[in-house]
Amino acid sequence: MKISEVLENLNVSGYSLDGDPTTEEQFKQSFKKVTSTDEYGRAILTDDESQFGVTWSQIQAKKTELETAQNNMSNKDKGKQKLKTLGLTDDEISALVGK
Amino acid sequence: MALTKVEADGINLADTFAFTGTVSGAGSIIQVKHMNYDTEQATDATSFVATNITLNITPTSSSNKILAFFTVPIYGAGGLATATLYRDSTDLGLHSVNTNYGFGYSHTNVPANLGGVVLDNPSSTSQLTYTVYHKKITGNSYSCINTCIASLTLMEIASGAL
Repeated sequence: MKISEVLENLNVSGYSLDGDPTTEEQFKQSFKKVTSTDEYGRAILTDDESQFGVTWSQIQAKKTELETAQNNMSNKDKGKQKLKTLGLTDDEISALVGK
Repeated sequence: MALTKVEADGINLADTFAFTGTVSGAGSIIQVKHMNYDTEQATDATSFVATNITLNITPTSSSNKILAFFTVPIYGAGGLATATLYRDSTDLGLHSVNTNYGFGYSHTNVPANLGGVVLDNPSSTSQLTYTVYHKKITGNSYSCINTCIASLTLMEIASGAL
């Protein structure tokens, strides 16, 4: 699971992330937080950790939680999740595979 | 025997010539810069975020133009993503109607290869920086999704060629 997917699940917003960091040091180098927008429509970013709104340990804990949940899912639930990723609504998925 | 340099008053372009030396001053492409890049970058920002797809070029004449080409594999996770090209602070994909979609956009959860070709007229002999930017419209935006390769090419074109 990519770190960016974990950030989505943690509801971290307004960020930029280069690559897929595997260590705290890499994360601190690759993560930037949007602080505002300039007059030309460009995001102004900061690498100030105090403004990240998330820590590496929180990311790791959430990643473990999500991967465990994913591993424990039934094939039916995995299929539903993939259909949702493809853009189907819950109603459309239910119509196909049931509740 | 001493060689004599003949200076002609004119030249008949219908004649056939066999040049054995170097012809200078005839080029229309003054310089070319090119790069590839493949590190994925994710953002959920709604304002444009700079990628590392970026090149500098310094025109040799203010009347010359810059022909810029770029492609960037992009993915909108759970929504739409878009990309554009900036010259320094100028968004080259911006005009009066299109204020949000850059050089196109990818559909929800469907990867796309966005690109653009711009004949830019910077009127400058200072160093210019061309950078690909991306942002989400909705969802999240991934440039160089799954380490697919983006590219950026800049050519300085002599004004006489245009």
